[in-house]
Amino acid sequence: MIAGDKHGENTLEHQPQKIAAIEGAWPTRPPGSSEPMVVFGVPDMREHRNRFEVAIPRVASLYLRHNLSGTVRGLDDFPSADIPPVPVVFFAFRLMVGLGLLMIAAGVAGAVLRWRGRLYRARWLQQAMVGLTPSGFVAMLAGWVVTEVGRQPFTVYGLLRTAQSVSLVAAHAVAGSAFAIVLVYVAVFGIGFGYLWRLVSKPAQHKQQGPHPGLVERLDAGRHQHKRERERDAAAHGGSQ
Amino acid sequence: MTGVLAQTSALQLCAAAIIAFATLVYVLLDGTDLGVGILFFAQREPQRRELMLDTILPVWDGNETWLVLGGGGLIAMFPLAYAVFLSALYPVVFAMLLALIVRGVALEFRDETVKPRWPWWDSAAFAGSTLAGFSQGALLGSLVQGIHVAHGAYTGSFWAWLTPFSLFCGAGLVLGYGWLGASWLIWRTVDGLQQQARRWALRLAWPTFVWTVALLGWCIVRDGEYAQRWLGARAGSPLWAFGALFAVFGGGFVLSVRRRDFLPLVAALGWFCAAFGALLFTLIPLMIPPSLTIVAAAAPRATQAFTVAGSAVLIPAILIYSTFAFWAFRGKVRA
Repeated sequence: MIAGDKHGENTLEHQPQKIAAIEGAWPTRPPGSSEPMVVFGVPDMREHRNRFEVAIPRVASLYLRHNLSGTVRGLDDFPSADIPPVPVVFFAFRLMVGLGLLMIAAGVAGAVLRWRGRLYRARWLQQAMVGLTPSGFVAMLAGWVVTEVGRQPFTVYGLLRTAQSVSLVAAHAVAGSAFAIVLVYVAVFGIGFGYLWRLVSKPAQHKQQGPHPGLVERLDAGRHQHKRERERDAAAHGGSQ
Repeated sequence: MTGVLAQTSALQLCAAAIIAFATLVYVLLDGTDLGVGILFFAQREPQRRELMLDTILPVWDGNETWLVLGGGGLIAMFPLAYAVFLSALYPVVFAMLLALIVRGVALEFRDETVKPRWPWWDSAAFAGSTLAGFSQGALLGSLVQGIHVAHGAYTGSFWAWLTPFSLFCGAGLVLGYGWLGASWLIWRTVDGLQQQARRWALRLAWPTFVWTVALLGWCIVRDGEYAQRWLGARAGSPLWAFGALFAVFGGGFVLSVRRRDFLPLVAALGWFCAAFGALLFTLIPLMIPPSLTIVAAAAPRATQAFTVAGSAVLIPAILIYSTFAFWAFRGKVRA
């Protein structure tokens, strides 16, 4: 969260439109008037406002400016050709942060249950953890969408537009290669998942030999021998250490 | 040539040398393990395929590091060459990447299948290796025959790379990689499989010799600028110098292939080094024929300096861990 805060400050300085889109901040508020945190809303690109907005006053000032009255430049301050597709950035950011908070909550819950000695019996948390399995990936992808869609319409911010940096390779060729990649990856991960599934679904049997039979015994024997050697050494040095 | 080269700064030459080095090491290392995959075609016995695979399993993915390094280095240090090369050769580069993915997966998943083995993985390993080698040869041919650039962008069509010459280069490199793979197997295997590898290596060496010489001959006959570099300087002495190198490595291979274990591989790798040297001699100072020079393709000085400095740390590090991997899995592979 500290890294995220620093990241936000940096983005506010270098890519102000991205922050405004994340916040759903359309008008620039007068200095000293404070910035609300838009918890929910449906950004409307045509009317330059949020529908169904639910906002908490002053909170955005706190995390963006670290005071209770700071403001940021709103999207209305920029030419409409220079702002990203706001709803995509807005919702992807909320998805990412929401999942992040859920994961933190799950971690804290786990720590509390462990401390109280109930972790291994808390079925609800175990099920929640299984449900949260893809959350890391989804949050990461959502964050990536925020970053990449949020910097539109530029590839090099303020200098090079995405439309200008498009390659000359025909669109259908690029689409074809993207399709081929998707096809190959679906096959690769599909088959790989199948193999994993088969490994996992085979239950372990009582007294089943591991992949390296006798390894544990050998390791234990080694450790004991090591201990004996250390004791012998200590005895030889007469306990001077 | 000397005139243009004199305008190339030491930093730009250093950057170009890094790209060349990464490409050469990639061809030598991954060419060898792709070759083993290509030889699956000639190997019908499952146990022997297993042994062939065991020689490359610990190293094949490490070998592909050099492709990543070359590609990453190219976009950082010569962005214009990268943009032109990938735009002009888009379908070939993609075919190569997909083939490398399929092949890598086939090598790793092969052992996961329950017996009897799903034979498709072996076919996929062969097809992927062959298509990857073929694409790389076609990339080479397309580069040598020239890619047309105007105002800093590729101006040709989607299929401009597709010529009899580029296909010839692709087919030739598949045989050449097979030769490297067979020479590697001579070193790493014993008994029946080794005898087989000796036969394959000898059978694949001759077509590779012919291919290399034909490629060089094509450059000299078809292109005035290439011919000038080879024949103009000191009455064709470069031709004699490279001819001598090819004679040493080719002769060394033919004389050692029946008796020695390690020497045939050294000779085959030496042949590829000499051929790569001849290619560089043909192209320099061009990065992408017929017009894009090393100077014209170079990134700004600060960018190149940053990347060269990074490479000075990165390349020795990769060399050290790769060498360790080869050393850790050294010795003959037996049944």
